[in-house]
This record gives sequence, C-alpha cells and structure tokens, in this order.
Amino acid sequence: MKSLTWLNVAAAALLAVSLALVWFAAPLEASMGAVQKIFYFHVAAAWVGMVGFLITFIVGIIYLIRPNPKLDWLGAATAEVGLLLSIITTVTGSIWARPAWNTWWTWDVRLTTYTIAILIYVGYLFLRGAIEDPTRRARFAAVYGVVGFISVPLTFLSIRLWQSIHPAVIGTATPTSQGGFDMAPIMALIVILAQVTTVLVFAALTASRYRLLELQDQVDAQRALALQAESDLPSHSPATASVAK
Amino acid sequence: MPPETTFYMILAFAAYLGLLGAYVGSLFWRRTSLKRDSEALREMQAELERKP
Repeated sequence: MKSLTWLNVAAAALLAVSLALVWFAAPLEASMGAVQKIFYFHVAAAWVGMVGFLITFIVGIIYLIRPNPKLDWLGAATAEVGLLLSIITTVTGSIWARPAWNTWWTWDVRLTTYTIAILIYVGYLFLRGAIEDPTRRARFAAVYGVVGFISVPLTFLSIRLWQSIHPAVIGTATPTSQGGFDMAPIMALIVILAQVTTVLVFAALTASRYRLLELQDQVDAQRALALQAESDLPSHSPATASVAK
Repeated sequence: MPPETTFYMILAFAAYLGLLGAYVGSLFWRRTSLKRDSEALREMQAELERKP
C-alpha cells in the first residue's frame, strides 16, 4: 500500500514537471505554433494506451492457460487505463486537427480504426460489468481481450497500409504521410520526458485500479459470507437484503 | 512567424488534465464506496453472529 502511494506521488510530481517544461521551456514549432505542444502527450498517450491493450492480450492468453484471478485483475486494469489514454489521444488529436486540418474530425483511416479499437474496449468493460460470476467473467474477458486486440495492430499499421492524412513518425511508407525525428535537442529531451511520465502515470493508475479490483473481490467474499450466515438463520432478516446486490 | 494557436493548446491540456482528473476521481469514489460496503457487511456479520 505504501509503495502504491509513493508511485502515485512520483507520477503526479513528474507529470507536474513535464507539463511545466512543455509549457515554458519547449520552443514554438515554426509551422503550427503553440498547438504542436499537444504532441508531447498525445503521442505518449497513444502508444502507452496500446501497450495497455497489449498487456490485456498477453495476460488473457496466460489466464486461459493457467487461470488466476490476479491475471484477470491485471487484464481489466490495463484495459481500463489503456482505454482512458486512448480517449485522451483522440480528444487531444481532435483539438490539434482543428487548426492543422481545419476540422475537428474526419473519417481518415487512422481515426476510424482507432475509434473502432476504443469501442471494442468499451465493449470489454461492458462485458465485465454484465457477468456476475467471477470465474465466468474472467474467462469471457480473457477471450474478448485476446480477440479484441486485433484492432490494435490494425490501428498502428493503418497509416502504413492505406492512404492517410495522419502523420506517420515511425516507418514512413506512404508518400502522403509526413513525419520524422528532426527536432531541437531541448524538444527531443522533453519528448523523452513526456514518454517516461506517461509510462509512470499508466503504472500508477493501473496499480491503483488493480488494488481496487482486489478490494472488490474481498467485499464480494464478505457479501457471500453474510448471505450464507443469513440463510443459516431460522427466520429471514431484511437487513442483509439491502447490502446484497 | 508561427501561427497563433495558443487557444487550442490550452484547450488540449485542459482536456488532458480534465480526463485524467475525472478518472482519478472515479477511482477515489469507487474506493470510498467499496470501503463503506465492506464496513456495512462487517457490522452485519457481527450482528448475525450475536443472534442466538
């Protein structure tokens, strides 16, 4: 518990430092102006969110081979935080697109595949919420997390496979894609710091969510015990019914 | 001279921090709610054990 608190404090502190550096120290980019500063966290949120989905995929496979509730909690936590980061990526990207592309949204191949991926992981959370039995829920979620992951490499490769107006920084394959690593040393340093910060924020949020799922499991066990004790009594007590789900 | 896009930068960082803050808030809320449930169940268990 103490290490989780320290992780949260470290993530919050590094986030504050990174934001201050992006705001005050990062130079203005020549063609886009201040709005380019969104990229420091937009790019980091995008790839770290995808790593979250990758972890859900990996622990899903391991769970199906060796079922363990801890793997289920880890898969659920990384999927939820991955989804949060993906939504952040979409929203900040849309705000950047307004001055850069002169529109808040366009059904470009990257934006479309990313939206599909987000909806798939929203579905993952709905699926978990719809199943009461923890073992059944974990098994179904593991299968869904493995199958749903197809959307992630598809999103990553979309701008390399099809024509897109979205910039491709790594592995520019299509002539319409733009990008590269040409930037001032201070910009490169802040880019790296933003990536490290986002990884730490992801770790802190995932650990906090994992702890919550652990707590939920304890409360469910307590609830089952209370219901068992109540059913053992000769007469029904209405008090338990209010806390029982 | 770079174009004036400061408004969009502020909007994006507000959205970033707002979404992050809302999620952290939801974690706190869910934790508080679970602690309350746990406490209520503990009291109920104790009450049931006291019954003859």
